[in-house]
Amino acid sequence: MKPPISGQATASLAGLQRWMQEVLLYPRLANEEQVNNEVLASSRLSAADCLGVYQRSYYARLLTCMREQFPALCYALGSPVFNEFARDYLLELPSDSYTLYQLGRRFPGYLSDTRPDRELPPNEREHWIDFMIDLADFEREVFTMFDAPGDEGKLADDVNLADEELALQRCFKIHQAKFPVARFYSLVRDEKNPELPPLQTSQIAMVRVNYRTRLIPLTNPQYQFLLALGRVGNVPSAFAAMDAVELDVDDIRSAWLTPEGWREQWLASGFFVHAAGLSVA
Amino acid sequence: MLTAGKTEPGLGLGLRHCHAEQILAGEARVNWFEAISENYMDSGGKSLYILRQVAERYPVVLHGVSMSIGSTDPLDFGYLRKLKLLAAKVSPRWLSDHLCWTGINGINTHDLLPVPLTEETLKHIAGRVNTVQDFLQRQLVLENPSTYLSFAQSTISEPDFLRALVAETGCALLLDVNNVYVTSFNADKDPLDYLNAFPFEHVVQMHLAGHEDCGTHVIDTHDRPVRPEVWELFRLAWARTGGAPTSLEWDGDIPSLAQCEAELFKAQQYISPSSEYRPPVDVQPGASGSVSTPVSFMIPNVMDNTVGEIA
Repeated sequence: MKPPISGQATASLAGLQRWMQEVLLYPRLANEEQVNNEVLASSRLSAADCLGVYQRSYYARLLTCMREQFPALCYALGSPVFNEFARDYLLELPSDSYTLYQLGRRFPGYLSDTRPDRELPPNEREHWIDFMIDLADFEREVFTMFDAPGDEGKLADDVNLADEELALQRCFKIHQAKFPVARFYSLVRDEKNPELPPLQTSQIAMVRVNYRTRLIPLTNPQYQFLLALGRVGNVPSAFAAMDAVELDVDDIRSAWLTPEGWREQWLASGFFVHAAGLSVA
Repeated sequence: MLTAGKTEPGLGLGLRHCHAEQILAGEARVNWFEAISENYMDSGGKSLYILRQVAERYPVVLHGVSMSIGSTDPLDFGYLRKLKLLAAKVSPRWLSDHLCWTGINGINTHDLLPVPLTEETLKHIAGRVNTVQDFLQRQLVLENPSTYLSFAQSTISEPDFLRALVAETGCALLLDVNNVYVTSFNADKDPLDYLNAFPFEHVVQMHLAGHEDCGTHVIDTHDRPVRPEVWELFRLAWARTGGAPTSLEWDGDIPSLAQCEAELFKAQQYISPSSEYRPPVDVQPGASGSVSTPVSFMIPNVMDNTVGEIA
């Protein structure tokens, strides 16, 4: 968003609010004469200082929220650099929602759109920037799992259910990144001070059970199968879709059915609900 | 229309994520809880689960920060619809927000910004309050905000503005005693004059909170104990409201549930019928640089709620 050209505040409520919002978001637009016209000085503070309480708090308040929503990215960049990126983001894309939960919604896209090497071919771009964008994207996904609609109390864990009776639960996602972002995130959480990881594709399942989100590493066949399952909605059709990604259906079926294989592990991990319950959920 | 009443007297606490487990384990000793509406309106997960559980065991009230009743943007009916749905789920005793605006042109600053107190503003806000009450089919409760500046164009005192707003709309009031002190100090006014002019007969709830004294101004930080000068104002306000339900807001550096309760229960020293107003002694200013209207407590600690398998 480009800073607006501040006009004279008018005597109307709308004019005053337009002026005040401008000088909150773009403090440099505040000129002394305007401020003194609109705001009374106190016995201890000038009009500009009174307004300054709001101006200082605006970014400080929202930057704190951004650090809370992207703790691993904040660790990776360090707070000063993270704050710079986040401040630029808030300048460009101020909050447009009544809830702070949406504050970081556009941050991964903003980082991607504004990366300094965006004009270069992908294979010539800086890896560390790719990692930061991957990590931001991952953290946003994890954050949204917290309050997303879920199926607590309705999960299917009966190994005797037929494949046709299984459907993915609502609070389940798979995520693919160019870097091992889930591992990095977990190491930050555990205060292990991880180094920035090398380029290495990672695939992960996120599943919420009893209101806790679990991150489970996936192999590529597992990822492809779950991707298909999410798309087609049932297990038999997901097997049929494996040909399209050049995976051997028999190998997939074997891994699915073998004792303590995918099926049993994922039932125990809370991936599924009873498909018949979906229509009444 | 559903109206707020004073039938649930007693002391309550702002519901915070970090206390949820203890509250659900039955360790809370307070009478009721106040939940921030926006934290639950979109929740399909843990937040709503906690609030529903709390609401089954305690009276709850909903307290909003984003209705933006003073904004010149159109009312957000999507927001109001979700608020109405949430109220239907948890049956709050009342539903409140602030006399403020939070942004225009679709932007939310997530601050409780002051309105100029003029006839134009009164007419504008009264119309919106009526619309909101009609939509929600219940009385709205509005809180006096903390303010750090006074507009040159204001012509009405805040107590008189709120009195007129109640007369125009039939809304009720939430008297934040700490905000009375903060606003009065920053505007070179006497908080006793503010209280003497306040329409106490319309107060259904009061707030207590801590603030930071920066010497030249005070900031409503909600991150420390209630200051002695605010307790003295509370003593008066409690008597004049006839004991309106009172809750403590603690939003930054949130201590344990037991510590929050201990702070809240200090109120009992000030609500005895024989207690009299005592001018507070001077207190030393603290360091400046604090943030007004802290909101980060509304962001859940998702990282600690995530179980990772490290490959």
